[in-house]
Amino acid sequence: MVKKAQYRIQQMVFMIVAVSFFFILVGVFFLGYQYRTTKSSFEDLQKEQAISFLNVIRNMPEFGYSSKDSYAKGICLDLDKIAIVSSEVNKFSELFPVASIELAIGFKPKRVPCPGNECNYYDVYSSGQEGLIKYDSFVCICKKVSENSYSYDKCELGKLIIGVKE
Amino acid sequence: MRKIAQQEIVGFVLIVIIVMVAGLVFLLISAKNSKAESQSSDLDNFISSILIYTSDCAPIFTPNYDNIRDLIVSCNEGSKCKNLNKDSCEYLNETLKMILEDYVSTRNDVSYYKLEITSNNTGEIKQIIPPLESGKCVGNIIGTYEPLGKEEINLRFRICKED
Repeated sequence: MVKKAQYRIQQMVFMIVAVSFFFILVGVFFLGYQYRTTKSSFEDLQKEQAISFLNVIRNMPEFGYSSKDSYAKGICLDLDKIAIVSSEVNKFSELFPVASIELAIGFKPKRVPCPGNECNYYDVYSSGQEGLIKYDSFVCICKKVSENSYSYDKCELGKLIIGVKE
Repeated sequence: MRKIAQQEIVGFVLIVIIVMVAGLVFLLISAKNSKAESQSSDLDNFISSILIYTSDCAPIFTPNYDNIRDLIVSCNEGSKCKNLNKDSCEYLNETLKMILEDYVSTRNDVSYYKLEITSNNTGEIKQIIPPLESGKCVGNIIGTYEPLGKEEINLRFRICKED
């Protein structure tokens, strides 16, 4: 009788250990999954914050394009202003909430610095800091163009790249 | 002896059911997280910028070029690009395809995209141009929706982004 009771206890202990082990495994798996999700959300949030900096820069009067087209207003960058600011960057360094600002016009992987022939890249501002994380967002870059005595807004696509300290 | 065996079986079945329910709940949570469409300001910026991009199509006179927003309206109205001697819808299709391919080439984590432009001015939803899509959806779905404000035209862009 005692032996049978011992056997039953043994069986129960084995089951409890097995079930506990199983739930621990599930728990570890779940925690790992949650950790990965949280980490990815954190990185997304960091990126969203950087993109909100990009929107701040885009809306700065020093960069923003003023246009009769209400859609371009507040969305696009003014290429002429960019050219002026990037050549006089030291005067504006206090304005920027970020460590570096670059502008790439179009999608060509080869970057030709401006000013220059067929250039497509402006190093607008650099604080000289190292170890920056860079984020980019698409922008439209506009300028006034005159053709056959008719002036119009010519807008291209580009990428605004900012660097923030890690 | 038979009663004990029955009890054992009931216990085993109970454990199996508990484990299955736990697994099912976990799977449901995972599926819900991965397939829900989310928004991204990066995508919103991209679409807003595309709509302002100046095309080479001038339906009335050169150099009164349409931006993509106006080109969509021109296409919906059946206009032609006079300077290019081309149908505005054909030109719109080509231009958007080129831009989207360039976009994907700069975003390595984008596995799939789909752009749909629809109009609803006659009460029924009509595709202005055939949907532009490429790739196979892997990862999270991110989408943006932009009403153009003219003739009930809507633009919907979805991408799948790998983690």
